[in-house]
Amino acid sequence: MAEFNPAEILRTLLRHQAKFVVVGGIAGGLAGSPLITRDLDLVYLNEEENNQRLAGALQELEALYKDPAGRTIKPDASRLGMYRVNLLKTRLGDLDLLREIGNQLDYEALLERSLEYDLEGASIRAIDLETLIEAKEVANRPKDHYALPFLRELLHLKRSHPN
Amino acid sequence: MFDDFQDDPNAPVWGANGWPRPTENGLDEGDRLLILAMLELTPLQRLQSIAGFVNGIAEIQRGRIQSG
Repeated sequence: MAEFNPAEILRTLLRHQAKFVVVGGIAGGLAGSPLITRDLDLVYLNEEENNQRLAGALQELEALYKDPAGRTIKPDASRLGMYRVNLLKTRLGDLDLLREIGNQLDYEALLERSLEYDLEGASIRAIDLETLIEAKEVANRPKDHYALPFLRELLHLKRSHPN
Repeated sequence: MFDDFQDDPNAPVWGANGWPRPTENGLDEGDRLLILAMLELTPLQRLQSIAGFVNGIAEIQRGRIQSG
């Protein structure tokens, strides 16, 4: 398994000027959730120019699709334009590129519900806690049931201590 | 005193009624302390702490860490 380095994956995507919003467990982690996740989930802008930028970054990250049949399938702009879910492995860990989450929330919709985080030299956007909680309520999997008390407590703390 | 607590045959079953730690909204004191500790970190440090845990497990699985 590749050494997991989500911060460096994000920096690589930013260097290629790709447009995306961080979602999932890493979005929770950025907000302060202590829950562990071993992949980075992103919702990307599905437009030709952005898919080309993403493809460039994915090439640098040596990304391949997780293919159950074991074939070597590299992501490219065409596939990113076609597939709604892109489950990838990279030299810096697992990366899931999604077109939407929850109730059809795509990049544009999530951008309005995101916060900026400073990764010391790189600025990224991740969905806010309210949206993450909503997405997990919609997903309604056992792991979401486990995560929700932590996320709700975090939201409560942030609302009662804004600074 | 400590031994009395450890060996009390009348103590509730672990986890019963939140014993020995009460829970509120699904979390106990330890969970809340973990959240507060994460809030002390910068966003980059939070990512590094998650990655450190994941990579630590992977390292142990690869047998790189030797006991003693």
